[in-house]
Amino acid sequence: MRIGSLSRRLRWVFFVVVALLTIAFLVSTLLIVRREEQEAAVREAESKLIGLSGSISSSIEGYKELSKLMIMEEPLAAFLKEEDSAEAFNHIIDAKYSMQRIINVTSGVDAVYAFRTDGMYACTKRGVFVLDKESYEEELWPAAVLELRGRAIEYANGNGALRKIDNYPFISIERAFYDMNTQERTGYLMLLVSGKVIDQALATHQGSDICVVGLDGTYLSGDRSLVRVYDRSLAGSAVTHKPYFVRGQRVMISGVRVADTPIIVISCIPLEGKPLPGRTLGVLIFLMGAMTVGIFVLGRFVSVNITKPINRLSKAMNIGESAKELVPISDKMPDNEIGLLKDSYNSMVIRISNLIQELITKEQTIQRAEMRVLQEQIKPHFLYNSIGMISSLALRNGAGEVSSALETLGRFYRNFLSKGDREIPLEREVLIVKDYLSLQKLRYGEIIRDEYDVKDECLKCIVPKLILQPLVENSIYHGIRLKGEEGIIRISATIEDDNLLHLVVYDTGVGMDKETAEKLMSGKKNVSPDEESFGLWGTIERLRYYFNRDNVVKIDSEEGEFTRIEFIVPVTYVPRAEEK
Amino acid sequence: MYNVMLIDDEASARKLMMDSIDWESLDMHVVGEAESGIEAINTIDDIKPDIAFVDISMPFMDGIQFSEIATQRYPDLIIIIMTAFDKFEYARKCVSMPIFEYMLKPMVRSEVTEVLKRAKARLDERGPVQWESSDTPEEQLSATEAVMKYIQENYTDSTLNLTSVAQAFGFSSSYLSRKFKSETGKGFAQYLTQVRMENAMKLAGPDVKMFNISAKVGIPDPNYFGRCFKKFTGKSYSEYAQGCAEK
Repeated sequence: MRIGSLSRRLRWVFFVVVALLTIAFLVSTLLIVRREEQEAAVREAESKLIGLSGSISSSIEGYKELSKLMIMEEPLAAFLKEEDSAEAFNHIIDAKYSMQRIINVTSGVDAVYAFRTDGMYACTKRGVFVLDKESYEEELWPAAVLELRGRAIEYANGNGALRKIDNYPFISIERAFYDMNTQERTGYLMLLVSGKVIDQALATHQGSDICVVGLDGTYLSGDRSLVRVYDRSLAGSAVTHKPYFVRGQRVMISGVRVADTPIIVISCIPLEGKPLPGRTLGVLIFLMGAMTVGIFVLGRFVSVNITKPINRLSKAMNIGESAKELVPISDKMPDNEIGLLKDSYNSMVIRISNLIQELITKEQTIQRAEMRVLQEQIKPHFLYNSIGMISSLALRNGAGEVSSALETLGRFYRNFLSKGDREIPLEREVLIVKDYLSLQKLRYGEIIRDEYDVKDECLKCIVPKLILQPLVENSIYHGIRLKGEEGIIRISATIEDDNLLHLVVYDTGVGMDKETAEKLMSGKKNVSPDEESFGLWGTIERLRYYFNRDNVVKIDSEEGEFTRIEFIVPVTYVPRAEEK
Repeated sequence: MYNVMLIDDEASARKLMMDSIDWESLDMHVVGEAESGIEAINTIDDIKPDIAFVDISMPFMDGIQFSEIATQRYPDLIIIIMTAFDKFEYARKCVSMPIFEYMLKPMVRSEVTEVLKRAKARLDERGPVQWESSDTPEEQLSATEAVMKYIQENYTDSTLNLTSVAQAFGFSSSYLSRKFKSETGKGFAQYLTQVRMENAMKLAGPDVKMFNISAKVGIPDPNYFGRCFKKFTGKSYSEYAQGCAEK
């Protein structure tokens, strides 16, 4: 069924379009949301990290100042300056005290170590520290300190040389000591700042998703689980971000190095569950709304301008069907392609109606003609009876010629009328011609000689009645009689290789001029009833109409010599009327 | 006794008419027949009928054409047109001509007799057609020669006959006939046929069809031409044409 397939397809296309639009919308929304989330996370991370790193930096800076102050302390300086090791040993206690004093007035300092170049050291501490003597002796760590020429350097957790026994994180601030007078290096100072200092800085910021690590990844403070996401890329002096998955959650990992320190602050901000900013949300809602409205407008447009008018048109066309006749559509249609469709439908309906009317008229004419034939059938009874009666009368009076002539006449009329059939077998048509000619010969005597060459296979072919007789009549009146000599009429019928029936009437009459022959063959309605060839033309027209072919006749003639009219028609053995 | 001429292309029809009507009792007799209008034009001056039966459907010159000529040349001639049903309306259209009666074929004796009786009454009242004129115009010495010249110039006109020539020259036909015969020793029609046949013989040849020649010499009816030709030359046209080839 094709009914409604268009609207179904339209609906389908509509759905696909809507689905595609929705998907596109969702994808773009998702992308926008992600972007917004990331941007928000970046913003949050930056503000957090910059704040944190600032506060850490300032407190570390404080401890650096402290270490400077400590070097200025006389007892400590004396301990470090003393050239004699034994003398120096005597200064240890004083140095310790002076360091102790400073630790006591400051919070966050876990221990202070002061090393002499000869390896002797004084220290004061809270808690237990283990000094890795070997690495100290190898001067692995002081080397970097020496390069700084008196400035401080920080290490997270003692750079491997020192370890707190409870593994609590600390930061070491180290500094080389130079004699003010000789400007020679006489020792080192190492200030161990407790990780608690950073804990305090973190405490001022909300959220636990912050972690502070050393440059080498050692844990200092905050969320210990974040240590594993640390890598060197986060150790930039500007805030660096990278998206990450933590426990199946999308997060934004951001990191920044606290200025002039080996301390990295890492933040982890979940990307999901961030509320969208109102502006973005507004744009998205507007887009969604506009799209919905657009789709509805489009759907409405298609429905109002195409589907509905087509349905209406189709309904209007169906009215004619139920009314069993073709009626033009009178409903008003929109003045567009639909209206055009209606107009062409209407003009088609009118044309078809006209054709039907023509057909009806034609059929009526044929029926009327058949009625007339039927009426004529009634009269022949009387005619045949009379002919029979006269024939026998003539026979009784010894007029055998009269009797046979009447017999011929009777047979001629019987075949001529053929019970009103419009189509007859060729053999009967030939019989009509034979009888017609034998009667004509009685009238005109010896001027006509007739010959027949009708092949057996043609005899049963069905032809319209009276297609040969008018030709023969034409041959006599417009051919042979005008010549004043004896003439031959030859009738032949064959089925040729083209599987068409070829009927030929040939006469040796005066012939036909080319113009007339062309006119007759052309099949145009250009022969007036007054013309001599009108009967011939009518017969050709009848053939054309009956076989529904244009090419049914071939006329060959030489003026003064002969006329040869050939009908070429399809071979049929069944009358048209019975086919139906 | 009135003279009747039958003009019909069918011999059987003429014969039937001749045999079936009791002419005697009507004080009439059939004095001549013609197979076509052409033949009738050529012979009517010799036949001199009072009544002419004319069939409409004839080749070369049909009954209507003939009647048109005849009513002009022989205004007193009673013309009775006979026609089959399919030509009746055609004939009716020619009412402008003084046709005595239109009759439908096939012929029915009683109807014909009835019409002939009325024709006889007309003739009784008015007198027979004046074929013999008594008036004698002034003698014109060169008249016959002029007529012969006229014939030689106009023989191709198929409607040419004694009466038409006489009318052209202002003579009565009987006068012209008599004068022509006495001066040339031949009848007018005989001379006209002679001129035509001599010209036909000139044109004749094995490749020339009779009906072409007959039309050229003023006898478009080849049947009548054939008879004239045989009468004049003693040979049929085809024999003669064959003879031309052998020469």
